[in-house]
Amino acid sequence: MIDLSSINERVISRASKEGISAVESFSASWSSKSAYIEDSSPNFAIENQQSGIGLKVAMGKKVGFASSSLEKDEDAISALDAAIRIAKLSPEDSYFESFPPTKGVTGTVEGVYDESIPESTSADIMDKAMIVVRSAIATKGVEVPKGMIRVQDYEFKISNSNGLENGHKGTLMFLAFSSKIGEAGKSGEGIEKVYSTHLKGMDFDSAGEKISRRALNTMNATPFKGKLEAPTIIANAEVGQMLLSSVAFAVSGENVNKRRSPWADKIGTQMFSETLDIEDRPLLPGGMQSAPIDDEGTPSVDKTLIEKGVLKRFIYDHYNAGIAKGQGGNGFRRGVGTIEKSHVLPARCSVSNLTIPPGNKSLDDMISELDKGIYVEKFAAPEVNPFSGAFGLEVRNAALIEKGEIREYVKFALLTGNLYEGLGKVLMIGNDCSFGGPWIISDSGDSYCPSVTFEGFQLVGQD
Amino acid sequence: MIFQTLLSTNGVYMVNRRSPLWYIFTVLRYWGEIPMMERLSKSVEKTMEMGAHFADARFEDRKTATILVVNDELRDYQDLSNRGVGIRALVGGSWGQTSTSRLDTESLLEAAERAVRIAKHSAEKVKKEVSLDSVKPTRKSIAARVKKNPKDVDSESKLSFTMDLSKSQKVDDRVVNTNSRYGERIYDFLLVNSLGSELEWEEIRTLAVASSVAAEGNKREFSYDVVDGTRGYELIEEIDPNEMGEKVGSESVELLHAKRPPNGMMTVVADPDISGLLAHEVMGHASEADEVVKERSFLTQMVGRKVGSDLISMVDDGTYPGANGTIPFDSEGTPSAHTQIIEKGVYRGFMHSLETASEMGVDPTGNGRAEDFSRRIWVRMTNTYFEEGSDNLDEMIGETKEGVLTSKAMRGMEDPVGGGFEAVALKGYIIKNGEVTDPIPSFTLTGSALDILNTVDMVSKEFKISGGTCGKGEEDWVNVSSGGPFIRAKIVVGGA
Repeated sequence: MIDLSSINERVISRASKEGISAVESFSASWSSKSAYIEDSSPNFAIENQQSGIGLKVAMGKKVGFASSSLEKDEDAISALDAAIRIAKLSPEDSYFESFPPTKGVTGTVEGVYDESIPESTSADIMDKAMIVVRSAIATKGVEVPKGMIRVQDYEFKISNSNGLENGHKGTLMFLAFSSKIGEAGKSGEGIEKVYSTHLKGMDFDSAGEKISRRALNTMNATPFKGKLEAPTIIANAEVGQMLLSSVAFAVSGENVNKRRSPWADKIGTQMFSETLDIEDRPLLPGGMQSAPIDDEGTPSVDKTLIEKGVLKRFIYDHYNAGIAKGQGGNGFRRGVGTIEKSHVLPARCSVSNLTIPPGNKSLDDMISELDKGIYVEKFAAPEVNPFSGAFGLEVRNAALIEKGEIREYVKFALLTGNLYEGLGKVLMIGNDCSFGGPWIISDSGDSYCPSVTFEGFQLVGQD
Repeated sequence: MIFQTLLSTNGVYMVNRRSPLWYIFTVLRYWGEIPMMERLSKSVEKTMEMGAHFADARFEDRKTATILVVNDELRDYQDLSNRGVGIRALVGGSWGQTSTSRLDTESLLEAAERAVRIAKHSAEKVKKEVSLDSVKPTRKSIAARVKKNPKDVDSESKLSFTMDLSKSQKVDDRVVNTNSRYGERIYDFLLVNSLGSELEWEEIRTLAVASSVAAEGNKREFSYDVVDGTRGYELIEEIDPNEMGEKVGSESVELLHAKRPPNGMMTVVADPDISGLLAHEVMGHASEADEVVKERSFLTQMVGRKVGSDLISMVDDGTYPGANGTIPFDSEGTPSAHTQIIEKGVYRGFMHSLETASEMGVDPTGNGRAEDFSRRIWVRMTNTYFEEGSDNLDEMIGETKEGVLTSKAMRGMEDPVGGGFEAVALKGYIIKNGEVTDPIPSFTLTGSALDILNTVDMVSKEFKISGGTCGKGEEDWVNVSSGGPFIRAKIVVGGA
């Protein structure tokens, strides 16, 4: 195995000999095992083992970055040469000051390493995948055309020429299954995705039950006609994805500094309902992005971004914290769904685990309290315009609520509205926080949100 | 050069960027190692000795350079290198795959052994048998057909282009943020399989992106443009960065005063970006035969049946010159192909990998693609588009009493099971009494794809395809393009 600490040390020492005063070395190694299901049967299994390094060098204010997969120690030196070559020909970055200083790591984080993951083989993972299949096909007519489970264990080390030396070890599990029922023309699909740091304790039977129930619901869904404006319950993972595509963009210190954020001048402003808090929690137990340090080596600190509806702060990586005189700790390279390729790009300003603290109502309570409403369990792709908050999202699993009960499932409809306005009209917050996984467009930042009931959204169907 | 060839057969490229000392060092490092093609052959032989029924080994060397300029300042200049080998083994109907970034013979043989062990674990539990014995072996070496290899262009020129592309976006004080990006991707592949194929090929892509944010009061709007393809630096030299940047900056300002988009079913003149998403996301993904053999596609029983108006014809074409999804071979070594999917409204067939072609008893179509050596191969599209029609855009607008004209796409989402279409347009325009009137900001289009295709009543002569990347689900990204003509159809529109 490649010794990541010694590689970082070697690179920094070599840079120093070449007169490079500032260098940052991020090296990572990971092992990945995946099992794929097709047609309710095992089909494909993969085992990977790789390492990589990402190097940033600064010559005064001239900065260059290069990365390489690591076969041998010499690959790191080649990457260093490339980074130096780029720095030499780059114009000065007037905002660049330094790499992060050495600081004691004070935070601890629980539940981010499952020792059963490195001990598992792809055969073990395939066995777990077949538990999901057996559970799903226990419902008559349901099949599992495709599914996969991937587990990864990883380690990264970050060092820089300021003497900073930190590291972190973690595990990841990603499960994605799709079920099917019926024939073409009258069929239904159920999808389930789970992101976790653990394999141990994962309820594979429940995942199977969920995809069979969802397939039945979509098969029986009817095309929605006309328009309906009513209180709308959006399920926990979908709320998280909507926040990642909008709020995460708006609170990014990079977007604030570059004047892209719609909230650039709004600190201290009452933005949303007084019942609403939004937090960034890099120390959240079991969080996919949780670690005592960020990917630049800066100690992690949980932060309240929105408190009682008021915008309190933005998040910064070290570079943008320097520009805004803010606090770093949000420089990320690690993906949520996979650790692969974490070394190929420099750290970017990103949320860690974006969180709405839980309320006191269960999902069933929220449904039972609506005389007329809409429940969206799954969108095709929950994306919100980050500048305006506007959205129009195709619903994949959605239902109409009447007199406190689900009346019917609907399809071929868009939920339209404005999330920034909706966050000011929150009716109820659920107690069912869950990890939502990364936003589909960018594997950066996770969410941990409950289901939420909003006012002011409209369901639009075919005339 | 003999020296260069020696090194490159060992999987070491970029030799012209290095110092003489580096050459010496590299030769010493690989002293005694056999060339990479032989190492791959030995790995494949190993898998067969251990009982695999089919195997292949693919070496990839992916080099990427990116320059990002934000607000006229260099934000990033990156040079990325990713090399490794993926080995697949098939036992019965079960596949095992291993990948590694350690490229010596011993590591590859160990990876080959592991691939077979993994495949064997599930072989008895797999219901189907897969036989690839009828696959024809190929031996070929193909260099990328570019006029100017980006690695032969000095970095100052690339930087200067990217800076100009940023500066030109500032058409107005209301443009508060400008972003420009230059990208080059140079990929080298070697592939050996157990049927005797030995392939070597290269793919080169270049890319230019401009995006602006305009602000006025509390309102912010965004616009972008992308030019990309399997072309060398000549693609960049054909771009006027001032013209491209000014257009993007002006579009972002125009949207500040855009009206709220309408909601409901209406006549839509879909531009090539949006018609391309309909082709790619719904009809394309559902025509990937790995979805069909599992009966997960709503098009499973549709061959020979009418799926759209007579005006609709659609292809997937991995040979399209210069397009972003163009490839000489897929990740299994099958030559890319022109595959007719819909012809005059009648559904014709599917795209295939080796496995699905074998299962359905047809020829593979060059659509077995993987994101890289560490990921599995799926059936994937290349360049997917509707073919052009005979109308012109002005007539299509002139003959629309009330409707919407879309302009550029933000994203789309597949639904191979349900056949539902969802695409987000960056912007659009209201059409009233045959004329384009007010601009409208980002909105969503949705509905049943077959319902939409059956309402298509006009298809333009104007034709364009645009590049991008496509994930299967939300992973496994590959380079593709999609597009086609403007099409007029009834579609549900929703915006806020």
